[in-house]
Amino acid sequence: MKYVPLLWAGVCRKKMRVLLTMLSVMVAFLLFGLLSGVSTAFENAGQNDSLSRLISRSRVSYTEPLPLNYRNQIAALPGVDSVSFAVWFGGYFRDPKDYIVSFAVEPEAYFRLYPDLRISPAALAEFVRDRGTAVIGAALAEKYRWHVGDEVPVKSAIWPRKDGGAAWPLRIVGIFDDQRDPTQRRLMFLHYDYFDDMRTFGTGTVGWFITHVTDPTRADAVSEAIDTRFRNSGAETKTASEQEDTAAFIRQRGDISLITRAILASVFFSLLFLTANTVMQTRREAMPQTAVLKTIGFSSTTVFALALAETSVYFVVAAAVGLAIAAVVFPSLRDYVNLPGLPLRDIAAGIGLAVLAALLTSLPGALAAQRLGVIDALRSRD
Amino acid sequence: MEQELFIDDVVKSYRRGRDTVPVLDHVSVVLERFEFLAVTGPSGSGKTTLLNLIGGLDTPDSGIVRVAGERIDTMSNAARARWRARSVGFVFQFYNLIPALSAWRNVELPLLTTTLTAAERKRHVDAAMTLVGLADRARHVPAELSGGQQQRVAIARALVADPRVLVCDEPTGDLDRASADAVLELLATLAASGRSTIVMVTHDPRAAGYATREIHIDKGVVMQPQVTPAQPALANV
Repeated sequence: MKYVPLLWAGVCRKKMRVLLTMLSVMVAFLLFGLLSGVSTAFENAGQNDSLSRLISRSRVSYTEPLPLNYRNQIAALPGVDSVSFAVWFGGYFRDPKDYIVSFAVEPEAYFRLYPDLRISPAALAEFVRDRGTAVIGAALAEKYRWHVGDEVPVKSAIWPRKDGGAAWPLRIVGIFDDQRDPTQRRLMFLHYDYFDDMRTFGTGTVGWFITHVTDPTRADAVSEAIDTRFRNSGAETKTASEQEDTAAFIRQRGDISLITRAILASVFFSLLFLTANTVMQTRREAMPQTAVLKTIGFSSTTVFALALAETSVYFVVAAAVGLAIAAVVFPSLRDYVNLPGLPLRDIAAGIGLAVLAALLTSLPGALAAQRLGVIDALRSRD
Repeated sequence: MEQELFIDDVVKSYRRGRDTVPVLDHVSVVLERFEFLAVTGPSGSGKTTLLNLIGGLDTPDSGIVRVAGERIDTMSNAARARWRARSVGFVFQFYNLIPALSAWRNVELPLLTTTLTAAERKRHVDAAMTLVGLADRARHVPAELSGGQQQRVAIARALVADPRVLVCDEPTGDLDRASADAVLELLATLAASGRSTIVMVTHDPRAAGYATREIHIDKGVVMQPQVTPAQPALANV
């Protein structure tokens, strides 16, 4: 404690420089916190998905459709409880940048397969009854301030209408929620029958089938049975559990985790070099003061520890502030990443990295202070 | 009287590239306790090197350096650092105070190397600030003090750990005459009152006039030691 004023004096030697360095460290660790949280969310993607649901897609490609008539054939296989399907609608509102994660589904069967999607029975009944309707997640409703009864002119980036219209006017009849997986709250579902009647191509096809199995322990056998059933047909399937399917879908878009870590690594190396350079400059300027401390009897070890602490402290403090801001901000991404808050694992990794980076950037300066020749340093001051 | 400084046949040279430059050539000096020695000589004569040897900042190539009862030329760097902390106080030409610390905190610095409690450190620092007449400026940072006041703070810092020897390198070189006189009177008082033995390097014959002894160094050799004939400032102490 007795060295605190001396440490503080060192930190305050060039206030603006320290402030700017702290800001850059803080921003870097804010970025680290957010990106590693997002990366963790991607790594965990699909973990909320059910093992008792299987997804069957075209073996060729995610975008290749499957015939609707596979539905009854899958339903007839042993171990299958129920089957439904969905088509990627590719909707957007006003501008293609304002995309909406939207699917055309069979209302009743789909909601039966996904009991975590909470919707009022009246709303679901209306959705089933009226083909020109849609139901939306609570986050989507909040984003565009849409309410039940509103008619929204959603457009599709993929599917033009037979009548030449660009917009698919849909009346919102219900708003659903999902407490277990908040990313579901951004979805929109429209009626498959209406969609299939009105689209210009692909009639009678679906994007993927969802199969609910009676016994999750037999899911692999059912998957195999589905794929075998359609082998050598014009549209072969590839079936996997919903968890595996989600993970594979994310992998198709690139290794998010690898990309994130590559960005972080480049940010950190730049930060390390810049901070180390600043620290070395600070230590050079502090040389006469270090020489005075040595002259009046401070040991080389004490001088080394002081120099190390002086720069490490403000580096770690700035990093902690950056991580704290990331932890505060992260829950606001809950609708996009399925995590309630910044994982402790990522906070701990951030703190560990901050300590390591602080030591690495401070060490050369501290060693220089330890080895400083008093006489030469005093002479340079004079 | 007790010998406080015993320098016997000291040789010191520095390497400059491939050359060896002799700085001190078989120098011997003996100083008794509470004497005030002025070391004079032209630039490059070796007087600051001698001061560095006395202060334990450097070691000789050969010869003996015994200060405050301990032979320091054979000590390790770490041992000399510990010895400096307890036995020597330093006063520099440019004060060398830490700008962001208050005068009080600057004076406290040497005590941070000791095991004194905060209360004990406070007592020592308050006493040193009072001794140099700056108790009322304790909270000021160096930039808020005049050159003379900063040098008095530096002297308080040098004295706070009660060292036996005070080494001063051109302590008045950066001061106006009035401030220089005040600092020199303070140093003379410290020696005369039996508080410290003082070794001061100076270019200024007037400053040397405050000392009780003077040696002149030229080209690394001590000229005939002399006793300062008159000490006008001491008449006012």
